Amino acid sequence: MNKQMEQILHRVEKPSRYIGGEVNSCMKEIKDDMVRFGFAFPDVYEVGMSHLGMHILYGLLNAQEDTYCERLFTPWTDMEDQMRTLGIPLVTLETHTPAKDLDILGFTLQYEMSYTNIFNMLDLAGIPLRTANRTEADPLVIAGGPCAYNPEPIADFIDAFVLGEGEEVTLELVDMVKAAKKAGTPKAELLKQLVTIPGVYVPSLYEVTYKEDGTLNAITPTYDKAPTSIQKRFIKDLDTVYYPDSFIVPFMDTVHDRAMVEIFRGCTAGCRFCQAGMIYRPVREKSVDTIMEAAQELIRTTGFEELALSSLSTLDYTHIEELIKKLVEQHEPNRVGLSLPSLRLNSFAVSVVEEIQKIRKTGLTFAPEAGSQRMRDVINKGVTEEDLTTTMAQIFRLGWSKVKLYFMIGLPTETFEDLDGIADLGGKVVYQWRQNRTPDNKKPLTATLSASCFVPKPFTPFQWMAQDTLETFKEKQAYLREKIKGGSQKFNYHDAETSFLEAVVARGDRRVGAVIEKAFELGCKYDGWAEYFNYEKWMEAFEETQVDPAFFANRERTYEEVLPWDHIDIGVTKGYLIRENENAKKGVVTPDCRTSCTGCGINTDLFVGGC
Amino acid sequence: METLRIHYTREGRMRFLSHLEMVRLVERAFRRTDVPMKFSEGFNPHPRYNFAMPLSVGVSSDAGYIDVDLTEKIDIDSFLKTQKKYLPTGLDFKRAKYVTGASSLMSHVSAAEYLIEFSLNEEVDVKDHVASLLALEDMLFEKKKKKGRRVKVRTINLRPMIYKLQPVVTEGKRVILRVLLAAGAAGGLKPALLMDQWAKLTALPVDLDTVRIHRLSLLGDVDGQQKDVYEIL
Repeated sequence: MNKQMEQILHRVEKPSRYIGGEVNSCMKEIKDDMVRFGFAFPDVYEVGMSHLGMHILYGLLNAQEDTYCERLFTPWTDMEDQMRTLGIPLVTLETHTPAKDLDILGFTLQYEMSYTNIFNMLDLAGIPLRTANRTEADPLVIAGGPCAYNPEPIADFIDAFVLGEGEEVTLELVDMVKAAKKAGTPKAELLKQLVTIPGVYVPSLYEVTYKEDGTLNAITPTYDKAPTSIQKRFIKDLDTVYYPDSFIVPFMDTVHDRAMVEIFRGCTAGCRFCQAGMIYRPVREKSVDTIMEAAQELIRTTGFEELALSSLSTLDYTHIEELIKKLVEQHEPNRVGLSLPSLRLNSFAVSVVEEIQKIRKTGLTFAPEAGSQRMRDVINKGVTEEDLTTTMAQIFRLGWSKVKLYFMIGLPTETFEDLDGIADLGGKVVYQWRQNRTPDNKKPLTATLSASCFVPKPFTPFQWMAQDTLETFKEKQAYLREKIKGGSQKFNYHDAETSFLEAVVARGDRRVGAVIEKAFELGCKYDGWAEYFNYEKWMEAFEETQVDPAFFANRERTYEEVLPWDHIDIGVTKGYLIRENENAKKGVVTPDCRTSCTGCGINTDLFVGGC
Repeated sequence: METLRIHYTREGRMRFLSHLEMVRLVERAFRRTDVPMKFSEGFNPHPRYNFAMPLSVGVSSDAGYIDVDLTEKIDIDSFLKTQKKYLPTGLDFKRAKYVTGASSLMSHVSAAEYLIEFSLNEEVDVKDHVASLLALEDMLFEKKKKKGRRVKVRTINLRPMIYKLQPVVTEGKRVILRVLLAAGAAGGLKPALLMDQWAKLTALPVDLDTVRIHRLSLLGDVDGQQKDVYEIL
């Protein structure tokens, strides 16, 4: 640690964010011929460290002899002030190496509202924001993660995107960079080589044209080896894919401070609002043995007191009962709690929860997503009112008293009657509590009803729809605030402005990139944090760049329109998305594709004969 | 049940941890090395340990003590010898032993000795400032305590809490003091507060941004005698 760095650590809040040296972090001898990779998470340490993908890629890259992966996070604003005042650049956590000196700087794109933080990190690192302004001395700036499926808003700022699951493609990319480093290949040449790796998108090798009405005309390659359509990468067999046998154990309390073991990828439920449900297809499970082994190893090497099963919908795992039984047997003696995030609300969930309750009792979160049955049919959330009430009754009988219910407002075709359904459901929770609470349960009921503003996302059946305007969102929030009353019920809602902006960026094209750049210049950062989000500055940025946010957020697209992400292939066909959107309009439910294939295209194009 | 007392030191980057972070770190270290911690009863069982005098963020220390309840004895030699495997760099377990009876490390603590290093904004005679500080009869300080929404203010006299204070190094603007201050559950004085107040009281031109604190020892009262906390049963 250098003297200056040490000095500022005495001045900032929560210095353990910046010190590195955590148990299981990787220290390597630095050699000239190794590839130095910076895994950059554009948010504060405690958020980034909760991200499973980072632990996987960190472990994977450091398992390679001639690669050294280090971590970078966005410094909190007090730290940033200190760094800027003293002229300290952005450095890695492990060795405090300036980011500019790395070979590759890889950003993970988990949410759109982190983009100004990417710009801030590049700026703190002394790396030009635009790819066109970078030199041979700058690292190769790459990005991946769920938001990379619409790479266009930040296409002018990222040298190469990596689409899909990273375990194979990242190593292929690193190998190519290694060879280029050895051969002294110029960056322009390297980028041309990189497009030969399936799943790699180099935006500077594509040309974008627009129509007179402002919509896209086409995105076409300008280099003959660059593919017209970039297919995402995915891992065929999760039992043989790399999984870390240890996680870095943070000193500070992170958002998800626990060991995470992945049980499957993909989801078959087919909820129409859900991007993850589409982009992570096909479903692939790990075997019980693989999971058990990973869990045991992780707990042994980290000392975590909690183990979380990670997936998009935990209870859809084929052998879930067997798995939980075995995990409880394995970990109960050592007082390791088991937590199951992403539970779908049903009676089966309760029997499982009951099993876990033997160890440790935590709050329960359920996501009915919509209040009325009609609305749940539109979004294809296969949950019925009866499911909800019987499940509530069950958990209250078991002694729970704290529940959270997640909803979205602004879903397609939503009316005020659908909103009534949210309030009604809250009332039913209270009723079930009164009917079923156990006499010895002295704790009062807390039912938190939380409503977020729906953001239509690329690669979902709702990708063409207009988002509700700010006015409509606010009207709906006010309506619910009036409706949901009573001491035990709490109503939370999200800031509509943030969701509006998220909608602009999520479905934006390259023109939106200039807006984000301008917003950053105006001082926007940490936009996902309510205390820093500055809507006025963002509006100023739109004005100065002459981009109309409503064009991206509140405009309904036709099926014929060229979408900014049309050159990306996730394996699910557009035809399927259109069909699902039409079904939504009619309120027709599509069954879980574990029961019968719904023809999304994933097993005909990408994963032939799979599923 | 067995109670294991551990004497630890922390230095380097470990000094930037908060007390809560230390607690979590130590529990996880025990878990990694299969120390059979005794858990509390009830729905949310917690391991039972006891830290003597939590260290503030930024403070390094030669004198940290933990009592931890175990379900059975472990071999202390191998526990200490293998610590590189389960402790991060900068945290060291120096020695350990079993203590009998119910532990309440904290209740024994009565004083703590520190080195305080700092820079002066201008060269002055530190000895003069020390003399005028020690000559003060009272050093009143308004301690604010939040109680719900109300802020309660209590005036306490810090002067009797300074047992010893002497400069050990004065080189130009650089100063190192060795101080013995009251500490513990009955009330104590933290070095950072001492420096803060001192700067106000005798106009000592200390650059508060440069203050670095290192704890040397932690003492307890036994029959009117001060003893190293590690030795107190």
